[in-house]
Amino acid sequence: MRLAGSVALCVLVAAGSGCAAYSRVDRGVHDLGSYTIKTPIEWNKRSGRPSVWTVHGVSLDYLLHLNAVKTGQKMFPRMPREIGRPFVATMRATEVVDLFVEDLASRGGKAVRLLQLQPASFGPWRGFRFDLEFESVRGLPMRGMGTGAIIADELHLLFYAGAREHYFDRHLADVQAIFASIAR
Amino acid sequence: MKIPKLFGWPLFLGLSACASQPVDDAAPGERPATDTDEAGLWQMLERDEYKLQTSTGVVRDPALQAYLESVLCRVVPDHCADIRVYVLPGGGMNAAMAPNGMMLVFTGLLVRLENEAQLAAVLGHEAAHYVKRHTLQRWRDMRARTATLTTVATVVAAGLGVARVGAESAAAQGNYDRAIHRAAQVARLHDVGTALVYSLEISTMLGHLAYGREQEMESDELGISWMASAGYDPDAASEIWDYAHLEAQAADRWVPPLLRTHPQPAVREDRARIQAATLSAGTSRLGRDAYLSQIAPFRNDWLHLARSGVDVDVLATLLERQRQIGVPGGLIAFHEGSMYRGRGGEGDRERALASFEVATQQTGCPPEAFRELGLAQWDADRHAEAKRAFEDYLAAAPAAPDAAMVAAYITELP
Repeated sequence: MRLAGSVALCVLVAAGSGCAAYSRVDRGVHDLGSYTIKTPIEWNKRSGRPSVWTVHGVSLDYLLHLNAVKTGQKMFPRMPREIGRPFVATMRATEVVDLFVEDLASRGGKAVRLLQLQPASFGPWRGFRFDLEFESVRGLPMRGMGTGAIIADELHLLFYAGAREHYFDRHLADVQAIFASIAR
Repeated sequence: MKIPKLFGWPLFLGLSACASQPVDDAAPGERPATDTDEAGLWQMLERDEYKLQTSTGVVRDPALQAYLESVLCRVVPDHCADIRVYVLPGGGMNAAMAPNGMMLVFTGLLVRLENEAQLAAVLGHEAAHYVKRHTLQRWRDMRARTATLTTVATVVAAGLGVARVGAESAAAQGNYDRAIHRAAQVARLHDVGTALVYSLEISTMLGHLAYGREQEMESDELGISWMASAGYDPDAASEIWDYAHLEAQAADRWVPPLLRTHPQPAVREDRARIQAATLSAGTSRLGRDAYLSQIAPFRNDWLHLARSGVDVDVLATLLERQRQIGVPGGLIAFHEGSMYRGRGGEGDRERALASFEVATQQTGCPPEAFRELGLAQWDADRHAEAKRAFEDYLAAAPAAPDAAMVAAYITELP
């Protein structure tokens, strides 16, 4: 079931209850600043930094957009000051993924395990691809898949995660299509 | 003086009010009767335990599990079947006991202990919480204190209501002198009542925390006496607190004594030492080698976890502890290098590089130290050495998840 109903309700009561506001993401091409992507499916978008797209709700699946993270900035800016290291433009893929894994763990992800990290193109840029498995804050076994690159000293990273049972596989092909659509 | 009197009574009430009745120790194999509040507590915890049993986050190693259970059973043989131990990944020096017998031991604690006797002290302490039914007592204590607070708040609210109705009725009858008098009473009662409720609220919380600290002391004492009866050296307990004290100093986080959930490590250390002095004769098992060999296969991963989110001073204390325990130098130097790399301050790149160089020349060095050395050398434009370090990494860990990436580094290097 799509989130439409709950998202609409959430938007209605957002101001009063502190519930995050969502908006719809249509199929098609989207400009993310330094690059564009094309999504074959609709998503619900939670604005903010990083912005999050989800189909069935963020506890079941999400596509995280880390856009233009500069040297000295944290990947997740809202993390407490004493937690998390900042990104540095001279980092290499192994260090970037290490940092991402640390941040995921600091944000409640448990038993985070890197399954694979390899070079991969990020649109026209040289980048990397990685796969993870972890357990969500609520104890749900999750699979994750990310791609990223450092473009003009700024980190750009897309990370898709979904419940290992059913949800990750359900939109895997759609997300792979999004990763493959990255263009300048 | 008015103010101390005003705050004195609620403070006394809140700190001393513990209407809960003393409970008997848990008997071996005992389960609470289904119509009791304790059964409700157990039910809640059993749901949590079920989640834990099906979670992928628990460390599941048959040899480690059997070892921990054997030490537990040695310390509390009568309750061996009542308590289940779960090892959870977590950087902090923590363990916890649920009222239904679910004991949680965090990897951050295991990586800091030096021998089986220290482990026995921890398991004994946690088992004492179970046997003394501390959670149930705390739960009842909180309910009793909250009931006192609610009663006082209700009386104050009722008094305010009566005074206000009196003022309104006097005003309606045109008796303005009386109405003004009543309105002044409402204002006074409001000020006094608010102060009373607030001070009672604070003292309720402080009283509850003090009660918790008493339970910790009781568990410390019981744990030490049980471990000594099991043949372990009781001095091991004070050594844990000695180290916890060092780490607390390094963390430099001061919490006012009244707000502490646990007694200060220094206080626990002194008490443990004094108690041990009365028990030492004939009890001397340390089990150092047995303990360290059980932990050795996990130490690198658990140090990774313990490093996360910890500041450098605490980390330096932790690594010094590893040195004292006798952990191989290569492993310590690797984590030291990672600590500097993570901090990223002035001169830290050079410090990290030096540590990784030391790590790769010593025993106990994990394969990833070669990868980190290669990255640090690459940063320092020492390309030929970086290439060699990456090749060493791939030779030591050919199936590493990032092997393809590191192989790409080798071709990328000039």
